[in-house]
Amino acid sequence: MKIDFVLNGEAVSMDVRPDRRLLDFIREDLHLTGSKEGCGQGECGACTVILDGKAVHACLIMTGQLQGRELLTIEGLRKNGELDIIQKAFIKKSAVQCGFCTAGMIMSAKALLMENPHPTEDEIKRAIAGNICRCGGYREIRNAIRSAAYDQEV
Amino acid sequence: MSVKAYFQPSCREGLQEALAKMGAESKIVAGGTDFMVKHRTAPRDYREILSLSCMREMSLIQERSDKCTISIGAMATHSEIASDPLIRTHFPALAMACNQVGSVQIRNRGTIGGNLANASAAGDLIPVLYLLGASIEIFDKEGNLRTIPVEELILQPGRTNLRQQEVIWAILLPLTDCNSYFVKLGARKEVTIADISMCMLWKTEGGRFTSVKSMIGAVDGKPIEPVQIYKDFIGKRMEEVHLPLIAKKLQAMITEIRLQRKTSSRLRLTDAEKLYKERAIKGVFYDLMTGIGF
Repeated sequence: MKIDFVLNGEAVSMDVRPDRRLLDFIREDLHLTGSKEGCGQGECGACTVILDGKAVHACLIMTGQLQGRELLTIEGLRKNGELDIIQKAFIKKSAVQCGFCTAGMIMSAKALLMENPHPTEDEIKRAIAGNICRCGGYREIRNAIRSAAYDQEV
Repeated sequence: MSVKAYFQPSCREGLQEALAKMGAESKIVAGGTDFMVKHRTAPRDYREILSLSCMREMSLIQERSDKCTISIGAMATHSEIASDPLIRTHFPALAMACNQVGSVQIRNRGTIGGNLANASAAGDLIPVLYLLGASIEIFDKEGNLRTIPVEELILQPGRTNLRQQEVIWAILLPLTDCNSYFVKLGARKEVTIADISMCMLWKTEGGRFTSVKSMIGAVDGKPIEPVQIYKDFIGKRMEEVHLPLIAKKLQAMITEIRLQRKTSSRLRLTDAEKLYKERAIKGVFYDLMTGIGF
């Protein structure tokens, strides 16, 4: 099935297997392996991407449902070789340990800050409630998101 | 999964055509948050899949021309409903229920139509839709719309009386001058399946309750209505309502459900776990009362 969608800012037209899981399409067909599979059941958030400006689990979407929509993956955050402010904050604030949850965490944070540039602490917690960090790095992750939102320079 | 045909209509005519092709090996997918999980744990080879993803008309939330009904398109997501001004104003309990489903990512995809069609005993929106006297508009392959009360849609957990070539089109809610509230208890604070949910619809005049309705979800296959507690509210001011007495009645109601159960749980439950809900209902009730201003 042919679908038209926007991928990381660029209009794309591709022939896809519509019932293929979006996460598999992203990782194996588009070769964008930043998004991870942690559970495949919409619990861990490691596969979080942004669809039409909203954070979603790529493991729960069929590729055909991309039709007419805008997809942003972790790879799409870097602009002209420069990391997004959230990515820089994660590095600066030591919010990356094993790194497996990181892409999903950053995408959830990105979706939050796109809609709400100055979130409260509760809003930050809520935004990442669907992302699990097995290393337990939640405090540093929250620090990084707060820093990206509020610090003049990261 | 490798389907023979994948339909993704964007208009009514296309939807009718696709519905006409639905058979015993077909699946209609709304947001996909239940379907994709089930499909992973128990995969089936569907011949046809109908995705409602491009049916924009089915996402609308609006006042109907009769001026006394709000309609919510079946494809409206939990996020959209939770943030919609019409819903927040007129049906706060529904906005609250939608706001507590899963995580942000789930709420951005899961839909009200899907929540209903999935008919889980723990489905968060279902008790609220019973509370608000919802009707369900159903669209068929001929383009006809029929409307049934929500109580008639769900037969038992996991089963609705939707026919093969039909789809939930919209949920209709009669406008009310009553206020409403929803609370949910789960294993954790967020991203949790409901163990008990409770909601209330009420009106006061001169500080006294003149109208009360409540529904309790996730304690039985379908939501239950604790009618026996209404008289403990009507005509009383908040400070005159005897909360401990009402909590005891609710506990007795849940105990009765447990005793009436003909089949035991598939899970190996300890005695404490078996009694969990009839004990926890009291706390849920108090949370609800705190929420409505007690």
